[in-house]
Amino acid sequence: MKKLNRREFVKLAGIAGGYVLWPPKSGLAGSEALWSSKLGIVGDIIEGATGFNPTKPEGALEPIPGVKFAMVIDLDKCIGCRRCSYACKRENNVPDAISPPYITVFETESVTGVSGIYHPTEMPVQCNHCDDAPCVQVCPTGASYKSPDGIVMIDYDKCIGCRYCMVACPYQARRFNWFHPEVPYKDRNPLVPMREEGVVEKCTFCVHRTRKGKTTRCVEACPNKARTFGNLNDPDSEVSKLIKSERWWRLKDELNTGCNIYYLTRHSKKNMVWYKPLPPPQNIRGLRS
Amino acid sequence: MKDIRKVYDKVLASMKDEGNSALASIKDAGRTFHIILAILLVLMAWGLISWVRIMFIEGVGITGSSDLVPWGLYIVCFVFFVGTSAGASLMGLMIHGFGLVLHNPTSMLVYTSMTYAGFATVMLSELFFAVKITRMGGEGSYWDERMAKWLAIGALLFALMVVHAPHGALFAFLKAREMWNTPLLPAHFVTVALASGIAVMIHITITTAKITKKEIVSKETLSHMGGLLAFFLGVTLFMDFFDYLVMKYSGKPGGLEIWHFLTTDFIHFFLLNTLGMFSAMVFLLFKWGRTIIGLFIASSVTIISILAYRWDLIIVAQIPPLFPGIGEIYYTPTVPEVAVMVGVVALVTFLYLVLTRVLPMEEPFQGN
Repeated sequence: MKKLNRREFVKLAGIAGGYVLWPPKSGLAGSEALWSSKLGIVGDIIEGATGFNPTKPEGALEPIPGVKFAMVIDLDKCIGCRRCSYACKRENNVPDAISPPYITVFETESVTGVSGIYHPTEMPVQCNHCDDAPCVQVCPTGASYKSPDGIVMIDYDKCIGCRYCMVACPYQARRFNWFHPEVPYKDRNPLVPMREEGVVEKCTFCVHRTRKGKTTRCVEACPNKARTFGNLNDPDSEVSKLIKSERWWRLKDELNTGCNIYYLTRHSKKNMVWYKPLPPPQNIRGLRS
Repeated sequence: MKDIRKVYDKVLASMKDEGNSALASIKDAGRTFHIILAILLVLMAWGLISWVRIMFIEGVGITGSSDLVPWGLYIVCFVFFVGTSAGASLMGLMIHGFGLVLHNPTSMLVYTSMTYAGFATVMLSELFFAVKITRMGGEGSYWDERMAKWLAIGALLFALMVVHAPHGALFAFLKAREMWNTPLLPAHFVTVALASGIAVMIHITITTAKITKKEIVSKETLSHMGGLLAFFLGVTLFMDFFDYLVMKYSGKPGGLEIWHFLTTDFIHFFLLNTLGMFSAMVFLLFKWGRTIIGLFIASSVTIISILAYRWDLIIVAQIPPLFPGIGEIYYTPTVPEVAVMVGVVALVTFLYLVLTRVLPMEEPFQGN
C-alpha cells in the first residue's frame, strides 16, 4: 500500500475537514432558518455566539410579529372539486412523484346521519399546523419546527429523511421525496425552493405568500369560497369571526394536538366514519389499488 | 471450477505473511473458512451495490416503504439489532461522526442515539478493566477489580434504564399509532432485549466454539444462560398475553383493528412470535433443553421468534389506516432493501469471523 507523505496527508485532511465543516448544501429551505445552515457547523457556531449570519439571503421572510395563522374550511360549501389540491401542487412545485399532493380530498360519511340516508361530505385534509405538533416533538435534527406565526415549517437542509415525523403525524400530512423530484423548469414557481430527494415536505400555508400579506393559493383557487385564511390573534379577522360559531370542529381533537385548521359543518356531520380519497387513489404509494 | 481453484491458489500465494501473524492465521484457517469468507464478501458486495443504487442512483423509492408505511425493513432490523446488542452505539456515533447536529431535546431519537454513545463508553471502560484483569491472570489490583465490578453494574443499569426503556419510548410516545402508544412498550423492550441478547450470545458462543474447536464458556455457564433466557421469555410472554388480552377485550376500535391484522394478514408472524417464544421457554425448562444442542435450538428459535415480533411491531402498527376507509395499506420489502440488510449482517459476520481468528483474545498475556 502506498504511504502518504506529509503534504498529501495535509491535503487529504484539509479536504475531509472542509467537507465536515462546510458540507455541500443543496436545498434551500425557503424560511428564516435556512441561512443558518448555509455555512454548516461554522454557521451554527457563528450564529449561536453572535446571532449574526453573513449568508442570510435578502428577502428571506421573517414571521410577522403578533400573527397566528389559521384556516377555516366550510365543508358545507366544499364540493370536492380538488382545485385547491391542484393549485397547491403548481404553486409549491410539488412534483408528480409526490402523490397524493399536500392536500388530499376525502369523500366521507357522518356517523350521526339519519340511518339509511347517505350523507356524503367532501373533506380536504392537509397539514394542520398543530400548536403541539407531534412531528416537531420527534424530529431529531430540529428540521421541523414551529414558527412564531403558527406555521409548522421544515428546514430541508436539516432533514435527514428518517421519516420519524411521518409516523408521528396523526393526519398523514407529510410526503417524502422517494425519487429525485422533477418539475419542468417552465412550470416552476421561483419563489418556492425545489426540494431534494430524501427529504420530507408538506403544506407550508404558502409561507412565501402569507408572510407578505397575501392569502394561500388554495384559498384563492376554491371556487365556492369554502376556505378562509387569516390571523387568529386578530378578533376582527374573518377566521376569528367564523370560529365563534358552534359549527367548528377540529380533526382528531382528542389527541390534543391543537390544530390550526378548523372545519365548519352542521352538527350531524361532525363525526366522520370513513374517508375515501377522491381519485386517483391508485397513484397513492402504499395503497393497494 | 479449475479457474476458481487457480485464482484461489494465486490469492493464497500472494498473501505474504512474513512476520504477520494476523494474515497467517487467516491463511491457515482452512478451505471451508475461506469459502465462508468468500460467500460473505459476495453478500457484502451485493448489499453495497444495492445501497449505492438506493442512495445515489435510483433513489429511496426502490424500497418498499411509502408515505403510508414510512418505516419498513430497515427499522425492523434497527429495532432488532439495537435490542439485541446493547452496545448498538453505531447509530449515535455515526450521527455525531458525520457532523449532524442533533439538537431537539424533545425528540426521543436524539436521546436514544446519545445514550448509545454513552453506553458504548461505559461498556468499553468496563471491557478495559475486564481484559486487564484477565491478562494479569485473573488477579487484578484492588482498584481494577472494584472498577470492573461497578462499571459492569453501571452498564447493566444503563442498558436497562437509559438505553432499552427509552428505545421503547421512541415508539410509545407516538399517539398517532395505536399499537405503539402504550406504557407497556418501554418495559417490554427491556425484557425482549434481554431475551434476544442472551439468545444471540448463546448462539454465537456455541457456533464459535464449534468453528474454533475450543471451549469458550463452560457448559454450566451456558446452562445458566439458558435458565435466564427462559425467565426473560416468560416475562415477555406474560406481558404479551395481557397486552393482547386488553387489546381484544377492551373493545377499543384501534385495538380491535390491530388484533384483526395480527390474526389475519400477519398470522404467520404472530404464530411464529408467540408459539416460538413459548416453545423455546418450555424447551429450556427441561434438563435436556439445556444441553449444547438443546440450547442451540432454543436460542435459534428465540432469535427467529423475536425477529417475527419486531416485524409485527413495526409493520402492523402502520397498516391500520389513520383515516378509516382510505383503503388497504400494504408493505412488502423489495430486493434492494433486503440486500442491504443481508450485506450488513454479512459484514458483521465477516468481521466477527476474521477478528476471532486475528485477535488473540483467549491467550493469556505474556510479558509486561
